[in-house]
Amino acid sequence: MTARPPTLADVCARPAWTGVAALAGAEHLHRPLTEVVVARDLDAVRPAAGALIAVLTPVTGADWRIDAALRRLADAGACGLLVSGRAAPLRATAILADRVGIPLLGTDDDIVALAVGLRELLSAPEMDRARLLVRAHEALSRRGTTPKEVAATVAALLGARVWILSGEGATLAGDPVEVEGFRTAPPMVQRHPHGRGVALFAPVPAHDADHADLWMGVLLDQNDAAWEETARGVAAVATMALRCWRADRRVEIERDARLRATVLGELLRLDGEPSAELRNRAGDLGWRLGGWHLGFHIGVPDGVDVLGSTAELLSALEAEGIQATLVERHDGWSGWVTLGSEPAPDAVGTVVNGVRRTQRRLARLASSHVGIGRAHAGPAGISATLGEAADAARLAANRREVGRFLHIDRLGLAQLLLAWTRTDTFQPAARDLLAPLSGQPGELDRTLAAYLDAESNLTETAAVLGVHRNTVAARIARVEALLGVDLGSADERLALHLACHTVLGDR
Amino acid sequence: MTSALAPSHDDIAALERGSTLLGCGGGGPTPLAASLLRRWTAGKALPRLLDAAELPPDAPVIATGIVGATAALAEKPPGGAEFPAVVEAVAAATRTRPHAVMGIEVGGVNGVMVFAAAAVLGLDVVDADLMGRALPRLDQLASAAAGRPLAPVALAGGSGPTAVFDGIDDRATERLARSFLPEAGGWASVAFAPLRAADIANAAIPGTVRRALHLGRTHLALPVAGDARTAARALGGELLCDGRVLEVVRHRTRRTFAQGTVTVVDDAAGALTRVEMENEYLLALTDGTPVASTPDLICLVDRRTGSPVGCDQVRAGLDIAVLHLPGAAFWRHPDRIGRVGPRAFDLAHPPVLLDRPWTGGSDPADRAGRAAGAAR
Repeated sequence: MTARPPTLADVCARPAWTGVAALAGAEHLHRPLTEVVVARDLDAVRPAAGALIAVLTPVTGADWRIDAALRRLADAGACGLLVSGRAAPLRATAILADRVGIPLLGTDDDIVALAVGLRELLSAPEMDRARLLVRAHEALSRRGTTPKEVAATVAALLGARVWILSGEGATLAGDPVEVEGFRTAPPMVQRHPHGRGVALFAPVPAHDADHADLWMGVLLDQNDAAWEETARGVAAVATMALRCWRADRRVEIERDARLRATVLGELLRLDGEPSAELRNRAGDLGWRLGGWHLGFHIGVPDGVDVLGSTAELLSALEAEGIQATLVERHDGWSGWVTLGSEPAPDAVGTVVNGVRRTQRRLARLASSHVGIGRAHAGPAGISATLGEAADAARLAANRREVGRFLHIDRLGLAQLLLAWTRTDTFQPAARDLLAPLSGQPGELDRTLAAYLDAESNLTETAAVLGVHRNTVAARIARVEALLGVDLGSADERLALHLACHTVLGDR
Repeated sequence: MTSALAPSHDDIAALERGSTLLGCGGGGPTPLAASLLRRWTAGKALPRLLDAAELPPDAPVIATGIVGATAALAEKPPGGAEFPAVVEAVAAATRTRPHAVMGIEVGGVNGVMVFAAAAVLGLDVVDADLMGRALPRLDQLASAAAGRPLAPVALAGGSGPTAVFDGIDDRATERLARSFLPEAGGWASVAFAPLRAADIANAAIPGTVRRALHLGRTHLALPVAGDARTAARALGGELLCDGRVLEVVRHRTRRTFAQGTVTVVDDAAGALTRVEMENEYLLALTDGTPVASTPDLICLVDRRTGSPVGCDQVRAGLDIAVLHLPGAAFWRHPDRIGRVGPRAFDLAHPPVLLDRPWTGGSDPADRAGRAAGAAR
């Protein structure tokens, strides 16, 4: 340690010194302290420059020897006088302490213990730190220490205000202090001056290391470099404990998620009625297979911590009045709401609007895409509604104009599919498909579109285009040749039909 | 050689003031003694003041005075018969006839009372006493410090009883005297074993009555609102502090004597002069530095009235000059200083004294007084 020596004010801010009061001369606590000298009684005081003189024998506040000692300390350039007992001194003594600039401290605690601790702190600050770190380690290494317990333990060890925040800055434990300059990213230790002291923020980095899962804040009363170093060490032990706690939680969450995913997988593959065993397992998870299910799918980009966000999403949905079942998927969540009877349109509307508001409100879901299926009945209904929801979500991914949110209602399925042909994915594909026709004589693309619209009827196509039937036949033959397709195939017909709608509709 | 001095009634005020200053805040109600002296000598001359050298070397001199609670003295003043009772009891016990009396304590009430006692006894007063100031205990008598036995000691209470203790050491004398006092009504007249006139130079402190007269005259002649430093120099001492009393704290814990602390804030420097007291002012510290102690004299003088302020009178808000006057050289002797230095009062500090002690002969004004006496 090469830090400057502590001042008496620094020392008094330490937990071991909370029982020490400045009886007089409190304005003069800021001189560097280099030594502690223990005196048997006031008569034996041998002051030295930079020293705190600790007097063992209790004194009464009216003792003239306090005055004499203050003067001798001042003459020697000492730092302060610590006496046993906290009785207020005479006014005259208090004024004298200010006049000569020597603080008078008093305590009912064990002076020898204080002096020995202080001597160690001054001669070997790393000893003091090591002892505290060992204590922190002992207190925090127990498995399953919750954030609340971590905050309380660190607060007691450091005698400081300690609080724990989520990665987004929400309070998880303790009583947070508003500190100017604190940012929730990047996940590195932050230090901000706060009042006369310093606020430290220690992160628990997330698995991706570009943000923090948790933050621990510590407010130190004094700006004392050595003590701050100790506090950083304790904070490092504490964040380790918090990381441990998070990892444990994660394992639990993953176990639950895997269980849910397994049961859902079986439901999605359901063919007919579920087995009694599957009903039981679903029942264990609190799922109702009967009734009507209204499914939704929330897709998120790669890199979003789906597992770690489930709890937050559930409580956000709950805040919207939606009691949903959520299952983590590779790209987000499948969720559904189970209702007793076929939902009326306004009941569906409530769920749709609630999910939509949740998508907008949660920062984590900023770039998500959400689809909602129709309500379906019975155990097989879960699979049906989730299938629709997943399709709708896929479509919604490219539909920024609707806030990447789509609801498949009874009437909207066709529009939905048509709408899909206008997506960024499909349009280039459509143009590529029809590209060989462009620049060819005979309006091959229009002829193809009319032919398909006319359900492959050459005569009707000729009538629509106002050309001879043979002309149409010749053109269609050329189209088949240029595109290398067989218009007798229903699949290829459908694809070309959609492509024509897209490309020609664009013009 | 000096010769007898006959103080007049006009000198009583000076004697009273001087004895009060030498009382260092204690020593009892000197004005009461002065009024007794005036009453008992009305229409008569005051007893003569002699140097011990004027007496034959073997002439016995008995020290007499008052011991006990001074508050009780005001309630029931001496009637006069107390002094012959004790002096004659000691004379009888030692089969001597005293040629003269001397005071036991020049500071305070006894500094004046010795003249009242001498007047009743029809004897002269020897210019000497056993303390040179006021002190609270019998082991602080010069004769005891010089190794002379105090016994036989006679005590007579204001309410009548007389006791003679003989064949006991000084410690027992002190104990017996203290146990006698409640029976006697709080105070008692006292007489100690006689000293030979030739021993007074070594077993007593000569010249202290003239010193009281001189201090009193000088002090009374000073302007009341005059410069405090000038006043201190005129009295042969130094000024410690001139300002207002910040705080007076009295503790009634450890011993029979009231202890306490007076703190005066200097008007000019803002320095704090703290005076520790126990019946008398014992130790003064300025901003924490000890600046004066017993056996030197620490006197507090009221700046508005010019009067010395006793330990029992001082209170916050008074304007006070704190003076440091030299104590008697007798007590500076290494064998004796332990009895009267700060440690004798449980104040753990070596004595803090002026460069020069008071030695009867070195006092210029005192020499002038003797010259005046010689001229008569």
